[in-house]
Amino acid sequence: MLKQLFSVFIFSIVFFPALAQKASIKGIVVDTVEKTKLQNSSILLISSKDSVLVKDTRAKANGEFEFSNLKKGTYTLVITFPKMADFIRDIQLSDSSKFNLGHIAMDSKATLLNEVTIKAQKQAISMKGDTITYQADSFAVKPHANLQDLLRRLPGIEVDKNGAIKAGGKDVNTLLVDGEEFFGDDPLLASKYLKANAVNEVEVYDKKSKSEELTGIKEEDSKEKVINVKLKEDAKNGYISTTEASSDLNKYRNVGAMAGVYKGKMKVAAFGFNNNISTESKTNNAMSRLKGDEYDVIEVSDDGSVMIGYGNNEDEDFRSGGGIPNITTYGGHFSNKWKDNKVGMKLNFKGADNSSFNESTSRNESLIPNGTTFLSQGAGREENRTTGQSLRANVDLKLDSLSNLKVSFGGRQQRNSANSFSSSETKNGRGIMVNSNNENGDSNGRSETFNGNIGYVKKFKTKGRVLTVDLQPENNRNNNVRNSLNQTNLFDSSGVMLTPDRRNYLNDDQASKTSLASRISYTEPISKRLSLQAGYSFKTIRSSSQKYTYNQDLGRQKIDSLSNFFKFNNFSNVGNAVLQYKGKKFTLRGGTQAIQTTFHLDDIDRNRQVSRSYVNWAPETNLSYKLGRSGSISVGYKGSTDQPDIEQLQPLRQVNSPLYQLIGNPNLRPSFNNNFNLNINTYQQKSEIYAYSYLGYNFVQNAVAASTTVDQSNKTVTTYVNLNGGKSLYAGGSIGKNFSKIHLNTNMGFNYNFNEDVSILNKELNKNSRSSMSLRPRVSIYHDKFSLEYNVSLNFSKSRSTIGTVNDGKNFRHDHEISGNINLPYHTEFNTSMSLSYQPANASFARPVNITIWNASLSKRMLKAEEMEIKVSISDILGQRVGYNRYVNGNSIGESTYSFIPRYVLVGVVYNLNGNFVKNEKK
Amino acid sequence: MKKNNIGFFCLIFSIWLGLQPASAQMVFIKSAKITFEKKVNIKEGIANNQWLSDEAKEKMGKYRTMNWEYSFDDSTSIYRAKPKESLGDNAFFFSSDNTDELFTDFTKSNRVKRKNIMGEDFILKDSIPRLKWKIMHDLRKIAGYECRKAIATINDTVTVVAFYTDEILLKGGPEGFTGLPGMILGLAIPRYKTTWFATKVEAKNVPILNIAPPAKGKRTDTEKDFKKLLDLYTRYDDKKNPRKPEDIKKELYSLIL
Repeated sequence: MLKQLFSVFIFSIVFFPALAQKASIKGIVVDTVEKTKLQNSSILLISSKDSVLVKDTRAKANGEFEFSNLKKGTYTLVITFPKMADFIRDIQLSDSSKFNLGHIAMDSKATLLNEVTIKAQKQAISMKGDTITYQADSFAVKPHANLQDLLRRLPGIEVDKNGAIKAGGKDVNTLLVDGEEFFGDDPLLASKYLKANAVNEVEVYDKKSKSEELTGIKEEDSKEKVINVKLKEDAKNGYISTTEASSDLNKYRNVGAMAGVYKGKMKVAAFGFNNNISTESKTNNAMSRLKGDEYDVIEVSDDGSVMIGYGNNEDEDFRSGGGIPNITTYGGHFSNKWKDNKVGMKLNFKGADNSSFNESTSRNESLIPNGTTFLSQGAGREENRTTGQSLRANVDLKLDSLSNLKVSFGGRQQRNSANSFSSSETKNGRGIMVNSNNENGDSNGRSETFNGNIGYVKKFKTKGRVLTVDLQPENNRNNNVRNSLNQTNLFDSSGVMLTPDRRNYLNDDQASKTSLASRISYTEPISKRLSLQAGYSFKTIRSSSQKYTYNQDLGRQKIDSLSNFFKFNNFSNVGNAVLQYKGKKFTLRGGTQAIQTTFHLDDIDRNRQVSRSYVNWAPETNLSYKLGRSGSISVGYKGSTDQPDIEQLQPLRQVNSPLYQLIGNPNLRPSFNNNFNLNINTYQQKSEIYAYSYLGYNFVQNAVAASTTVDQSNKTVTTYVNLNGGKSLYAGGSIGKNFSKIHLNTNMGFNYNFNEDVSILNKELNKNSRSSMSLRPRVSIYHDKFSLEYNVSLNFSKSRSTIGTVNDGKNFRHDHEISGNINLPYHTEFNTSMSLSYQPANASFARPVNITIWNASLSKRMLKAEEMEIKVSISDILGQRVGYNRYVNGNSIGESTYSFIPRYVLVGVVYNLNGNFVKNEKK
Repeated sequence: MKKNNIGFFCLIFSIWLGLQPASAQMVFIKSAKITFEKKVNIKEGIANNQWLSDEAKEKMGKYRTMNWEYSFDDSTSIYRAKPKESLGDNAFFFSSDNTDELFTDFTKSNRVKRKNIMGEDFILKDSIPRLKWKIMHDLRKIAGYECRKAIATINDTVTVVAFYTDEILLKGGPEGFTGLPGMILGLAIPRYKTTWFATKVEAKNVPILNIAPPAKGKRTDTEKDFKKLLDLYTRYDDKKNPRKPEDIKKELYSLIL
């Protein structure tokens, strides 16, 4: 009542003519929702022209305010109340305007004048499910840094000097850019060519199988991580190209070129490289790993055990043996998406011509049960050449918003040739020669493979309900012809030579395999948190293997005892079911796989048939729990049945050397492997500490173990038996702390492995246990002008055998890696790295082997955007590189040498042209 | 019986009050004690100084920090230096406690300043100067309060940036800056490489007792006294080129303490 009277009073004042000559504004400020009067709201009258505050007042208890005696002009009226959206209104006043705004309703939202500049600090590192996301801009790097430099700065990610990436201790072999492969998915290519300042976020997550991606149900604990780099909006179109040439002006050289364009969803690239140094240019390897998109390969190995693999992880490199290399690789890539991303295509072509040369020596000392010691040494030389081409393509069709069809196919052909020479001799503990051997051989072969997959995925309207159907045909053919001449001499107990054994053989192997596999899997969400996945797959394989041996000394007569012609038929049915419960903070899953295999072997030459039929089980369960905001712990069990290899049941291999013989055991039973594992990881943002740790224990029931007999002449005969007692324990982890303010990063990693396997040597049980522990502290300082890193790896290993240990079975080595770079004036950079490896003398090896490999390089960047680089590098300045390895293994120890490239100086030029097609957009 | 009823009614009333939405409960601050941290960037200034060794410059650090207290109620305020609690690294290089104070009376629109000149405390009186403030769009959180940005110019060319909050009713601020529709919690003068930011607001709406103009010090009310001050202030001036009295007065009465 009183209120109404009051408002009437106010209204009448407004119309009072005395104020007619001056302008005024008034109103009543209220809350929209509650309709309460907002006393003390701040009312500002701002001159529109220069933002100057002209008048201000506070609303009275009844929400009213008034400005009077105002001059004419354009004003902005702003009314604010804490936690409410600002009220803004432009008002044009003339000399006598009287504005009564009435009730001004305020909303409680955080709206502001024009642009918002409330700083929301996005957490530099956050974790959601198993995905860790890093905000790239929160980690400082040099201005022209590439993605690899950025990855080095991210806690939990390690990049070694060769560019290999590890995240949370697991290997990263897949690096995607915006969810897609970047000219193939090898991490090296993208990490070297993408600029750090083009990156918005970096995501790290467990590598999942295709079905797990669709259904969210894990089939197996992943062993790898995937890094997905999300680019900033203006960095998604560009080009990259590199041309490099370096040489030591004598023998060694490295030349190559690569060019690529990426625009929206289209990517085109071509490359070609040749080098005979191999380790220098890692981009060779990166480009040569271009592959078509993977599909889950339904694998069944010869003995019938089935695995659903995670795509074509098999190295597609046409790589030949170790030693001194000469590598030529070339290829191209094309991918694009059309019709609004409904149709996608990827094409990858690759060819290679690789050869290598290696000279090696070896020495070995072994102990056998009756106390006899054998000392052998040998030398060899090997040359290899592999050439081939492969083409992979896949087409992806989005049939509708819920279903997808993907057709992938590929073909490859390869030819190899090799020749080798080796010789060895063995003496016993008394210095008497027991055998000597030399072998000369060459081989030529070729192989062709065609494979493909047709996959259909349908998601249903109900979230989580998915059906996948895959069909996989495959065909391959392999031919190899080998000539070998093997001469073995055996000696009696007083060192007198007995009749020499000479085998001049021709081996002709021809194999072919055709298979068809199919898989259907269905996932059903039972409730919001519980889902069930059930699947069935089958694979049928028909293969034939013809291995004939001919005696060249007898006019190429076929040696029946060393020849065979087999035909296999294998049919497997696999069923699996997994139940998963996803709680707020934890996920629990459990399930099993049942594999029923029927396998038929036909020995054509001997007219013998072998059939086997068995069922394997593989149960699994896992619980993972979220710790705080960025941590998790998981614990799990996995069991699996392993069938013995066909080689262990009925050996198919012929043996060209009389010193080794293999006998099968058809009564072998399958073994069952039990694995328990525990994983923890955590990241504390405030204190910048990152830690992960894992623990696992494995034991095998009825393991298939070797039973070997070694006679006086060091002649070995091996067969297989079932034994209990094999077990292993592995643990490891790392903890690191970053001190951003002083640009220091520290990390300590450790590993412990304990392995015990059982075997039989000369009818005695040989329990061989090996334990090793390594500690790897690391410190790195990174600065605009310089960076320094120091890595230490301390490895202790001990092995014992119940038969007897050669010496004390201990071995210790420590390796140190120091690397640093300094930015000098005139865009010059000095880079150096030193690898020191120490293998101290111990009971087994009287001579310590300490090697310091010191490499250094000086490079100068030229041109405006640092596109060109001239580099002089010296490898192994101290000339200490030796190709040497030693090992200690319970009842045997040994050392070996191999070919290596000695000290050299390389002078080279690299020209990089990368950039973005940036559109100038007005914001 | 009646008492119980009243008691019951009070209980219900207070519960009802408690259930009122937040907006009706918005409490505006009428009085409090604010602590400001004043930071002067001395690094560039001393870089060119020949008399200090590099080591000394290192020790002096990048900033010289001092804490100031601002106590106010609905019509008066007092701004003074906070006595140092502990000796920081800078203590060796920077002298003893500051006795400067600024008392402002908003209803009478005048203020009293105690300033130390050549070792002597002087009491200066003048009126509250009017500043032309430009209101900007930016917001920033200071000491837990949402503050809006405003810009003004002093001495013709010196830019002053202030952040004020409308949650505090008094139109005051540190160093004598006033006139914004709320309390200034953040102040920056780039030319003088100095910033003042509130670090905490205490004793909100609790009656504060010691807001009174500074008393101890040499008075300058009379013409004679003021002349004495001027002489002292310009003691080391070049007598041949004396500064204009208006300029000296401007300096004395300047906003910064």
